[in-house]
Amino acid sequence: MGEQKVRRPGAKITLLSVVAIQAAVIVYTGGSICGKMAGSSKGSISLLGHVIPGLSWKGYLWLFLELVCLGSYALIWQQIIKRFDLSIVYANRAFAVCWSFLWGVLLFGEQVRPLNIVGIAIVLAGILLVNQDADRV
Amino acid sequence: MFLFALSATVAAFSQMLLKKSATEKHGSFIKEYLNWKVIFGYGLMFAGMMLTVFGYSKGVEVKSGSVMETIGNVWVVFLSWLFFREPVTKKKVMGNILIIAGIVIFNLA
Repeated sequence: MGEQKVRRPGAKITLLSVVAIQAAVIVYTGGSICGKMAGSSKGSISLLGHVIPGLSWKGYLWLFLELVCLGSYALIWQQIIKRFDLSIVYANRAFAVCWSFLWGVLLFGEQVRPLNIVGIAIVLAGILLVNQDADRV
Repeated sequence: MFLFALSATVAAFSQMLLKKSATEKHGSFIKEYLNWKVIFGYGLMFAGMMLTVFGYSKGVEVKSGSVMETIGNVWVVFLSWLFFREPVTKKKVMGNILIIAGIVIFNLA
């Protein structure tokens, strides 16, 4: 009979870990904003005497920032899933809906509707419920 | 819609690869990132993102797309149990149902 492998539970979710997970999610949604900004910065650039259509210099800067955001997210995310159960942190990632909504309102003047708030509150309740089982074996 | 379900599935499998690499011991900090599981994992994630871009270009509404992407949450709970024996508890199931319901309601606005 082989030895049965015992699963090591993920760490308990503390306020500090929620901050770390949400920092990764904020960086991830920031990448989407940069992508949106890049998409709306159409134009052309002049490089070594050639005119390259597509994006303006500003567009390329946003695209670069998007890559910086996604790279940073990858760095943080890998450290997070090392410490916590994947099924727990992935549920926390759903809060991206709130951050994207916030960016939409603050940066693009999108409208706040009651159903948006209700939806976010329900997502938050779901995340809090999942987090209660973080250190279960 | 099929594209979005496929994208969520691909993204969930990419998370399994990333988690598998995260649970292994690596010689150095840089090797935690520069190994085939992480590189292939992020490659899969990128492929999943391309599928959603393709889906949106076919005229799928953003709200329908983001709702379909929540299938990923279901996949991750199931695959985490399958590969890492993470327990599927009542709170985890109820919590994910609430998350999906919240995203559906958010997109009804």
